This record gives sequence, structure tokens and C-alpha cells, in this order.
Amino acid sequence: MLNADLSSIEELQAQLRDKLYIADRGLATAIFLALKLGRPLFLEGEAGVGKTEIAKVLTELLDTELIRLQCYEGLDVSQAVYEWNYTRQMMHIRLAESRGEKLEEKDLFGAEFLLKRPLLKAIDASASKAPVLLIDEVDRSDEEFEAYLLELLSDFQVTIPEIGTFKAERPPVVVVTSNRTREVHDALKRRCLYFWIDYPTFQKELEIVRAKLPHASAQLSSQVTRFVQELRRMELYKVPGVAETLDWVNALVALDKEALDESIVEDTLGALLKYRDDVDRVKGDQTQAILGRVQAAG
Amino acid sequence: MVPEAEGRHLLRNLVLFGRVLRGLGLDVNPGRMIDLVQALSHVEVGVRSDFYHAARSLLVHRRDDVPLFDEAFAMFWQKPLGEWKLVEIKGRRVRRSPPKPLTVTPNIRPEPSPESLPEDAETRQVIELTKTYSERDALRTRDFSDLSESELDEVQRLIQETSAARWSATPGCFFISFTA
Repeated sequence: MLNADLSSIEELQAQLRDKLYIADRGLATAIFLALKLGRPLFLEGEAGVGKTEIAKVLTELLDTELIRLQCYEGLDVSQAVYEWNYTRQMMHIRLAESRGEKLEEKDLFGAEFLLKRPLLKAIDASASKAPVLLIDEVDRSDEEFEAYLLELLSDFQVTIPEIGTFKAERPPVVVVTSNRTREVHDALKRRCLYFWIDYPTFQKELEIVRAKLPHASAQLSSQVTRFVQELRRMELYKVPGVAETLDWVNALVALDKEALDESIVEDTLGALLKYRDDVDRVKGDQTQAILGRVQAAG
Repeated sequence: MVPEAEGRHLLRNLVLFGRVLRGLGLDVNPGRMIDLVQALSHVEVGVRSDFYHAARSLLVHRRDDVPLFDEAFAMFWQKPLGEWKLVEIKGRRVRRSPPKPLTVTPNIRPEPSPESLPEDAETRQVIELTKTYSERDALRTRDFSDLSESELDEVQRLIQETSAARWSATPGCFFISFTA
């Protein structure tokens, strides 16, 4: 088990790097402490900076299962925690009737009729290893759901009136992410180790590109990274994240490109910018200007 | 590991630091401070950037509070006591007020931000605790584990002398005043 073996932040950083996740010291410290203290990790940052990726990489490192709960407006207990399998209950009643059997209420509310949703799965005592529970984009859910999460994350137990209480023997490693479309309540964040993930610096982003896409030429990787870094300084509706940088490099490699030129930038901007207005703003003069600086830098 | 006597000093300073943050309007409570003490047993307290990140990840949970935390951290854990004559943190208690440099006595050398510190073990920095700071430079640059018994007594004496740290809040203003 990694938790027990992990002796230092350096070691965690190295292990993350082996899994192609480049974490700076601050992030590695927060992850390390979340594992050691058994506290949820709350990651905030713009879309595409690698928040969700951390949960995936941790799952690999811990050699366990990833349970993901994608949050959305209107998410409720039946989608997040559990639901009774009504169809199956109904069939059971019909079968019992046809056989002339008598049914009691408890016969219909057993474990076999329970549909476990992500949160209940994550604290299920039958799991042999603590899973990683990813609660993604919690800022999209409602405040009622946040309050429910708060309760769940304090004692990792769920009570189902008809059955009883499920309590995690091995609490899951919890990663909560937020794109900060709204401020998540302090009470929830207070339970967690908080880390704000910024867009990476040029050096770090280049390192990520080189690690993830080693087949791309050094010049292309460096030029693309520099180009994206320049775009992030512009007023855009949706600033490209690291995921977009990687997509763009991939697209350019597929086109056998070893360096950027104006026509290829304009033809492939769609891999980077997702809104028409943004593409229009960057095309033409802006592209030329940025490309000039990028090519001058090498 | 931190020896017991030094651990007590560190604890005292941590509690005071927590109070400074709370005074500035950060959501820091005793439970969080206990978490931090626990967390410090897992990191090298002597590595300044690790100590900083451990404290930040546990005591800050709003991005907007990070600059405020950074300033408080830099001042509290680095500035010698002599330079703490009077610190005015005007309007700081208002949440998410725009970042504004704290007014401090002049001639303070800019300190490197924890983010920019080299991370290898070779360049470990000594954490300087404001309340245990002596006017003698010798104590300023020493780690607790290097201090002799008599130096620790001196540190202890200084703590008592300077325990007149006063807190006062006036409308719109917030003062921290340490009298040497």
C-alpha cells in the first residue's frame, strides 16, 4: 500500500512523475498530507489544469479503483448515493403473487434491491482496498448536495432507513475538484486540504508536453507551449488549458509538422480555442505577432 | 523530529500565527491548528517551503486569501522582532479586499517568496520564529536544534519580555503591535 510506504514528498513527486504527472512541490505536499492525514483533497483551478488527472494518477499509484461522481445541477441522493431498484422490486412482487407467496416489507428492501451510486460504493465495506473517490466539479451541484457531502466526508457513513448504516472500514482517498464557477461553502472546504492549481509556467508546461508526447519534436513542443502561454495572456472567452496544448501538439504531429507556421496555426486553431469569437480574435494579426515572438525565442 | 523544548516554542508560535490569520479574517479555527500540528509530524519543519505549503493547504481555503496568507507568513516567520514596531493592516479584515502591501517600517529587505525557494534539501532554510527572535544575529540564523541550553533560556526570556504583544481593533483599522 502506497500510504504506508510513502516516506517523503520527494518520493511522491517522483512517483507522480513516473506516471507522467508533473506536480510542483506545493501540490505534492498537499497530496502527501491528504494521504497521511486521511483528509479529502480539494482542488480548485481553471478548466484544463489537471485537477481530475490527479485522481486518476493517484488511483494508478495506489493500485485501486476509481469511483467518480460527476456533479451537475440537480444532482440528488438517488443519483449520488443510492436508489431502490423499483423495477426489480415490482417483478419480485409479481412473481411472489403468481406463486401465491406472502411477502413482507423487509423482503423488498434487501441488499439485492439496492442500486449503489458512487458515494455508497466508495464507502462500501466489502471493498478490499480503499478506493479513490473523485467528486468532480462540485461547484456545479446545489448547496443541499454540498451539505450532504459535508456530512458524508466527516464520518464516511451512510444511513439507509430500511437497511441500516454503511460505514467505510477503509475510508476512500477523496479528491474534490471545482472550477470555481461559484464559491463552494467554507464548511466543506474546511474539511479538506485546499490547493489552487494555476496554469503551469512555460518550463513546467513544456516538461508536461515532453513527458506526455515524447514523439513530438523538441522545437514543435517548445513553440506550441510558448504560443499557448502567450494566448493565456490575452482576453479570451475560454483560455486554453494544458489539455488543449496536448491536443494541439497531437494534431500537429499527426500532420507531420516539426515547427509552427502561420497557415498551420490558422488551420488548427480549433484544437486550441473552442469559441468562434476567440478564434476570430486570434487569427490574422495576432497570430502573426505571437508567431513572430515564438519563432524569435526558438 | 523537533525536540520537546523547541516543539513547545514552535507550538506557541503556531498558535500565535493562527491568531494573526484569524485576526486578518481568515477562517482558521483550533481544529485546523490541530490538523496543522499533526501535519507537521509528516513534513520536514526545517524546510521552509514544505512548512509553508503544509500551513497553506490547511489554513487557507479560498484563493483570494492566498496573498494575504503569504504576506502574513512572510512577516510572521521571517521578520525579526525589531522590525515589527507597528504594523498597520488597514481594512484587511474586509474579506477579499484588493491586495495592498502592508505598511511596515522601511529598510526591510525583500524576502524571496516561498514559491521561488529552491527545493532541494541542500538549501534548507531555518525557520525564524518572530516571538523567539533575539536582537543578536546569532540567534536569528540558528535552528532550534542547534541552540544550547543557555540560548534556549535566552529565547524563553525574550518570549516573556515580548509577550506584551497587543491586539487592538479600531473601526476600519487593525493593529498588531509588539513592544520590544
